[in-house]
Amino acid sequence: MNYETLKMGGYGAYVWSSYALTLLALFIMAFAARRASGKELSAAVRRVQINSTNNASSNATNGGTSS
Amino acid sequence: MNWVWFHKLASPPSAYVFALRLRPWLFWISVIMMLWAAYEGLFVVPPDYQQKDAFRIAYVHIPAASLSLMVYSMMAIAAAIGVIWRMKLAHAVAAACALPGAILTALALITGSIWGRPMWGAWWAWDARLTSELILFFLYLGYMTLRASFDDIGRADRASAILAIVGVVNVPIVRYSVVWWNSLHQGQTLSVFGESKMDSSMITPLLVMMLAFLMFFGAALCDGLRAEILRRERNASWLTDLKAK
Repeated sequence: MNYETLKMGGYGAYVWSSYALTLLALFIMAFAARRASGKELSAAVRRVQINSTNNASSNATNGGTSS
Repeated sequence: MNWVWFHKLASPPSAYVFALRLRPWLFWISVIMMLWAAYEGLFVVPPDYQQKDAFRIAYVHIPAASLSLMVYSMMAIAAAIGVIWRMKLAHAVAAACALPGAILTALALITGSIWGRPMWGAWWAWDARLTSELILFFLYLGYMTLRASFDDIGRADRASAILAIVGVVNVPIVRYSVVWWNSLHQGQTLSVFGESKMDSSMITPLLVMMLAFLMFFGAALCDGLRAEILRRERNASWLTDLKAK
């Protein structure tokens, strides 16, 4: 790849900036969606853990009173 | 016709697992296709006889612009299905479409502006195509803002669905603005039924890039849909099974 290829007949700044912005936009699109699903998943896992802990402790309490 | 598969897919747990499995395939195949199409578009295809090398911007501008319309149409159809058949997953699909759609519309506007500067001598013109595309961007922003303004997901779904359905009237306006009005923007380059105005050597990388953008959006949609499903199914028992997996 030589300098002339990069210059693109004088349109290099327009062409390369368009491709760079596209790369940035695609990165944001993928990252934002990934981050949102990751955030919701960790919140869901936390809720499930809290619920199972609560269920276990209430079962233990019920078991204790019945005996 | 057997619709069992459709009903199964429409259930949140099945849709979640389906999106989880589909996402890496869509993502990596789209990345490979994009790299190939970008290489072809930048270095292999010959310069245009009028626009010279500036036309290479078409390989990112056209996929972004066409997909921005496609995503909005998909969002409006999903919203309509959600309103008519009260399918929760359809509202989740519509909500997951909004951010990628807005990003693609912004990208189409920005790359179009960059392309317009050397070709028209102006970054922006209040032309029918450009203005209607800008309205499309505001519709996406309006949809997301409206959703965010409600705490209750059900109310957010219904209100934003109405905006998405009403706003779909802008899609044919964007699409046919270059036909209906005298426009600074060039006419239709690709045609499904008629003859395309581009040489076949230039078309193949463009079509591959369009397909790659579509698949990349599909990957982002899978992630967005999973987030929406988890947000709506906060206390569902299937999440416990999911954790066990």
